[in-house]
Amino acid sequence: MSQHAVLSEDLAAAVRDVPGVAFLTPGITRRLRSALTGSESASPAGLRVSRPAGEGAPWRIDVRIVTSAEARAVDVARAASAAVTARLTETHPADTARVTVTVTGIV
Amino acid sequence: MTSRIHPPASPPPPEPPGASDPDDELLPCGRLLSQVWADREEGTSDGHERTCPHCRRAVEELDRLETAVRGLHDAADDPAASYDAAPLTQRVMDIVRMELRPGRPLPLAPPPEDLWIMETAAARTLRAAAEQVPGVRAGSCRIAPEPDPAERDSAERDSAERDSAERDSAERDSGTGRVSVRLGIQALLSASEPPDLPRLADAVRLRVERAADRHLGLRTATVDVHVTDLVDADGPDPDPDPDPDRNPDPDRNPDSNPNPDPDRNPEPGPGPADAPVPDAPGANVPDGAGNSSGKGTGR
Repeated sequence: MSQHAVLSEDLAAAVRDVPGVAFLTPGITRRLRSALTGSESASPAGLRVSRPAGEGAPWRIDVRIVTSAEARAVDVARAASAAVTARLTETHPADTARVTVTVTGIV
Repeated sequence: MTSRIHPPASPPPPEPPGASDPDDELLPCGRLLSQVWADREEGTSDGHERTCPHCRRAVEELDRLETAVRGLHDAADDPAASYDAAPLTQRVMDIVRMELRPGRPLPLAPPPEDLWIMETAAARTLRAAAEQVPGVRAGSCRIAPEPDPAERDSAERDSAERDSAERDSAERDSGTGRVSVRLGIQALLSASEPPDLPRLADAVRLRVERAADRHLGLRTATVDVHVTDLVDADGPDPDPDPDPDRNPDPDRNPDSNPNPDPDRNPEPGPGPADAPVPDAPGANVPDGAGNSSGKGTGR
């Protein structure tokens, strides 16, 4: 498993543990299309990790979540961003990241 | 069926809502999958999809998807089925539609925080809040970031110079970090007394502002409420679906869609299917109703 994939899984787990996060945006459209066409989806849904400027540059982390209707969306998004930053600091203490959190739905 | 005129192949059209969504797909013909599916659902056509093999295949896939999901619904009619699959069916299709047409990203916080909510998700909450006001049926709801006057000029200049494909979420337009809401409502007429439209609009605006703050954390700059129609409260509800988020889509041709669910937009829909709210306040209000829109500034 690549470094990005490991980090993605790790960060996704951190986001799922945030109170008010119902689930990571499932990308259900792509999954259904993949099922119909037999193609495979390359990247995990709901979380993208990249280093646009190359190795050693800041990480670019894009999180898409669906929140619970009982929670205030901005509070959940803020907590999810903090959780990602905290987890990255644990696993990659020397690295920096720009984290974007988008609420795509409320259930 | 209505017609939509797509721009010619060159120059490229402006980036549509959701174009940066990784779940969307650019077909070989240059059209977004989401747009092709939206056109199919709305019954709009410019003739291209009838001859384009890529668009036709995409539409066929949508038909297959709807058939598969309807299969879940049909299974619920089986007495042997131990659960009702209809809610699941509805939610699956709602999620699919929401992913296809998420609307624009709206800032949940001013910079440097990078927190956003998609327009469709926010609009659902605000429409539901509006319908908490007795005698109100919510219609189209459009939400846009309030532009920052200091940055508008440079943003427009940058936007013109930059290839839209290069844009990503880091370049989203947060403006001032606040949003402007434009909500269309239908006022229900009762037999006893005519509705006080300005008062109704004020009540709706208050509900919407509260919901935006309490449920979303969205900071509203303005909330424009437009009364688009007066309807008989005792008449049949044109939308028997109890889901308050459902939005009737008058452009939809039921004959073109075998789905038993009339498949009206579950959200206000940032796309062209969204029922337009007239620019002139109260433009759809019958004679004598007067200007029934309200406009207020939030915090």
